[in-house]
Amino acid sequence: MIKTVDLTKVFRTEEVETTALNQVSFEIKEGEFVAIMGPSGCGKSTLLNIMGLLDNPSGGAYYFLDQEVSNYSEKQRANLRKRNIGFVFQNFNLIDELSVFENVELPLIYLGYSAAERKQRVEEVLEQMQIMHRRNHFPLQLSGGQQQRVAVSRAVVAKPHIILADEPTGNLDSTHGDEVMNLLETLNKNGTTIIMVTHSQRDASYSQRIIRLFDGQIVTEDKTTEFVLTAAAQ
Amino acid sequence: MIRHFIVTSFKHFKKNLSFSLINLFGLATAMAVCLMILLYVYRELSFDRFHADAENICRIAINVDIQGDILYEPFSSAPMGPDLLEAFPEVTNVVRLSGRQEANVWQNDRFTTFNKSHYADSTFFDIFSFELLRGNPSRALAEPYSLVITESTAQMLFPDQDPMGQLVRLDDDRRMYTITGIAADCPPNSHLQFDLLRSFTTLVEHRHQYMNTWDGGISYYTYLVISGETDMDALYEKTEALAYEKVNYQFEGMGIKMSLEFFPITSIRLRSPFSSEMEEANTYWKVWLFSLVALFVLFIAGFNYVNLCIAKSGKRAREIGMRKVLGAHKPALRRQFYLETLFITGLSFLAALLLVEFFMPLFNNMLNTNLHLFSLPWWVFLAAMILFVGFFGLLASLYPAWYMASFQPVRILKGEFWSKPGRFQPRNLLLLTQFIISMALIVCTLVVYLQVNYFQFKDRGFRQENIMAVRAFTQEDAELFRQSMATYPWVERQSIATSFPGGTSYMEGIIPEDADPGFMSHRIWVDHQYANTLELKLKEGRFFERDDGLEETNALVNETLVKRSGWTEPLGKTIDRAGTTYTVIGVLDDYFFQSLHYDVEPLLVNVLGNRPSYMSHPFWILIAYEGVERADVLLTVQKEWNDLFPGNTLSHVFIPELLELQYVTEVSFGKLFLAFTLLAIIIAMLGVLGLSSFAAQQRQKETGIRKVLGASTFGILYRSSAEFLKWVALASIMALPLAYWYMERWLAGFAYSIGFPFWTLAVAMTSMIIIAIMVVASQSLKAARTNPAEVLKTE
Repeated sequence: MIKTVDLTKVFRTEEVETTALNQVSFEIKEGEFVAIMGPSGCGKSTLLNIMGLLDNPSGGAYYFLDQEVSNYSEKQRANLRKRNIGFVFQNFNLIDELSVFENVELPLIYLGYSAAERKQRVEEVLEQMQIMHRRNHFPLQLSGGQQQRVAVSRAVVAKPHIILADEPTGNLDSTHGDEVMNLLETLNKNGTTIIMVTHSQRDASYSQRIIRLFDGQIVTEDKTTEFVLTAAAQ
Repeated sequence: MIRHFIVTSFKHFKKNLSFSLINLFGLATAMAVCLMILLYVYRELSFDRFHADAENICRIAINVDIQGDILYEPFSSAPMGPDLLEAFPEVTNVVRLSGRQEANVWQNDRFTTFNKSHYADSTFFDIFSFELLRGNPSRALAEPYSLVITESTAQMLFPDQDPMGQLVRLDDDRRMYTITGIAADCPPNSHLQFDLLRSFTTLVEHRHQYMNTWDGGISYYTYLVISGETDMDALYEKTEALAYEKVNYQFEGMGIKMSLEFFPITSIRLRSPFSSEMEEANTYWKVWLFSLVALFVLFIAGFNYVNLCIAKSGKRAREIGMRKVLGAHKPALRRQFYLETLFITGLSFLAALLLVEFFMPLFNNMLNTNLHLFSLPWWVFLAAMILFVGFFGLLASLYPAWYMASFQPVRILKGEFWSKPGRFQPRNLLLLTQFIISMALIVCTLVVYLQVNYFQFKDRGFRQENIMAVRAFTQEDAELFRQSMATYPWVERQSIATSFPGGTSYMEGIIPEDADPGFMSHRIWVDHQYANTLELKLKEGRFFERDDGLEETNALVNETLVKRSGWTEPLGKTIDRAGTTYTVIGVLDDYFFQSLHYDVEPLLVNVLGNRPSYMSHPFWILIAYEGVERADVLLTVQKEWNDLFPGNTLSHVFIPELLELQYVTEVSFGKLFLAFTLLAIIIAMLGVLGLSSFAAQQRQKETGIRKVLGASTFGILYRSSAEFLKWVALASIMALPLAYWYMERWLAGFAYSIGFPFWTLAVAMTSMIIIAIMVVASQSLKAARTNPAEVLKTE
């Protein structure tokens, strides 16, 4: 489903050149739940942005659904992205002016669904995420956990192949955090590929595989059980 | 999707209510200003275009070259029009009108005065599209002593009777006039206004001797209909030959030549160079200047909108980023911003309509007009709506849409969305333009205001306070009235004359000694108290000492006449006029007997006693009073008048009021210009407010760090103000020369102007600096006072 070969990303300013990703190669298969971990500044978010087609790499190849997309234009990336990828962010990134329903509806608008279809899909997802009773509320009227549930609803409403989650529990307490992780786990069990960037070992334990980055390079790729065991041994 | 955008627009409006209201206020005010100016400009441009044949109607103007002195007047002699009609097939119709006169309509023993009366040919209603409600358009003015009156005149004279066929006496005419037609009241956008029209054939009976010569009695307005396909150059050539045949052959070798010009009727309102129009004309520059202000105000409001949108874009960055993440393309986002702008411009337009309705009476009052929103034809209104709401909305949304749609989601999600410092920012260009427009407007307003002020308060060389003029029919009546007023102790001095400063004077051709073939001069007849009453100053010689035959061949002249005659010692020189020779006994200092719009022209003053009997001038009793209220003067004058001439309407004028009236257009124009400029500056400063709040937001972190490191509030204020002052300085370099260039040209259009006051440039710059500092400081102060810990925490 996703494959990178020698993926490189260099940020340049007038004076400084920073290599955020240095020849990163890996593959993620359909239906996997993968966590990406590493210290701050190791390139996790850069990798997630490239995988999410929000950014292009500086070098190497990126295969998304078997298409080489590293040189795609912004428009091509947007088209591919809106049909196949759902995003969940640490700070939820809900639009304050729109209600819960309208926030979740947004991806369907850009996909050109009719109003009736949108209503049906949104209501289905809100029911599924148990947030239907809050459909007319605005984000600022909800708790953090509820906001993230709305964000997850928005991420899944268009039935994407992949969900990219960037520190999805970073702004939540442990109870709400577990709630969100359980949601992601359920989605994964239903067939959605999930790639998650996290600092949290607890969250990482929900995944099947962990890719660890350091200084823009992959240092290890572990099965979660091995990682958990190693961590316990340390 | 459109529904979604509309809902989003509404939600944004509600969410950022204060910001939205500032935007709405700015745009609505600008649109209201533009709508009002549009109404005014449309009215001015529509003058005389309601005639079906407007494009083909011209008025004859004569251009007489007397040895290099040019006399250019909109008048013609009586036979010119009919001669042209007979000689040239291109001329298809002609109508002659006498100059505007006063007419007194007698009913029983009472009379009613009407100010706008003309003698007109029977072709009047064929050529002009004034509506004749009753009567036969081709015959109503055919017979001598026929009278056409307007609906309003009919209402006044015959409130309960059918006016058609009624007989009335006018002025001192012996025969009665028959009312042969009722015309609709004249549209306000006509340079030709009338209360009543007498048939021209009546005048032919009265002034038989002046009806056949080209070089005498040049006092009529003649309008021609010239066929649309006419080669005007060829027509002018043929006219020159005709003029030679009719008049110029007599002057061969004398350096005198008369030529005719055909002045389009549609140009009379705005392009007339003549001081002797029937109604006060307007000028093109005024219409242009207003249009320019409208355009500037609209631009400023647009820039303002753009700046405020960008200033607030930080708040929307996350939304835009998320929309992009969720698959919105740039065109979809741009469409969204356009619709949002359309929502605001649409609301603003509605608010502007309310503002126009509310301020229209004030606007009308200032411009002495009677405009209302529905004065505009529906298509102009629709075009304005499309322009303001749609096109203006598109323009105003272009840059914010481009700017915001280009946010990169990756950077926004990282919390970075401000442009990097040092890069050229188009919004700075907008800021610069706003400063340029505001500063140029400040200079223009000051200059217009000073010039208007100069008009109002310039010493005109005669008594301007506490003096009134009362009109009498005959010299005997005038004398009677003067005597009755002389009994009041507060009457300082009185005089009887055929005119007074600000009133009408007549022009006649005179031949001063050593200045053959002479030139045109204003001429008035006065009694020996005139100079004393009006406090005119004598340069040399003496004024008339008596009113009888001994002074009859004496004359006073003004300095301009002396200069035009080339005299160095004017006393004792002679002036020939119509077979009589007058001797100059005194020279008056030039005084402004016309308005300051025109140069002082030559003036010949004779004693009342030798006034030609055919002249139908009114007689004015000038009363100089002191130590009494104007209202009391009027009461007494009214009482005396009623005692002496019961049943006759008193016609009077307070000269200071009349003089004010001469400049009322300039004064209202000045006030209106000032009001619009102030609005433009307020709107511009809202833009500066937006940008400075934007800059303050952008620098929140920098400000926080500087404070932590020990910067004072003043230091932070100084830094943020310096950034804006740089733009003020740059704007000055561009705006001030521009304003100087334009206003210098504007002032050159006045016979008497203040000269460009250079200090206005300094005032404009200083006031702009002060306003900008105040606006910027209000925003920066907030940032400078914020606890740095809070700013750095959120960062």
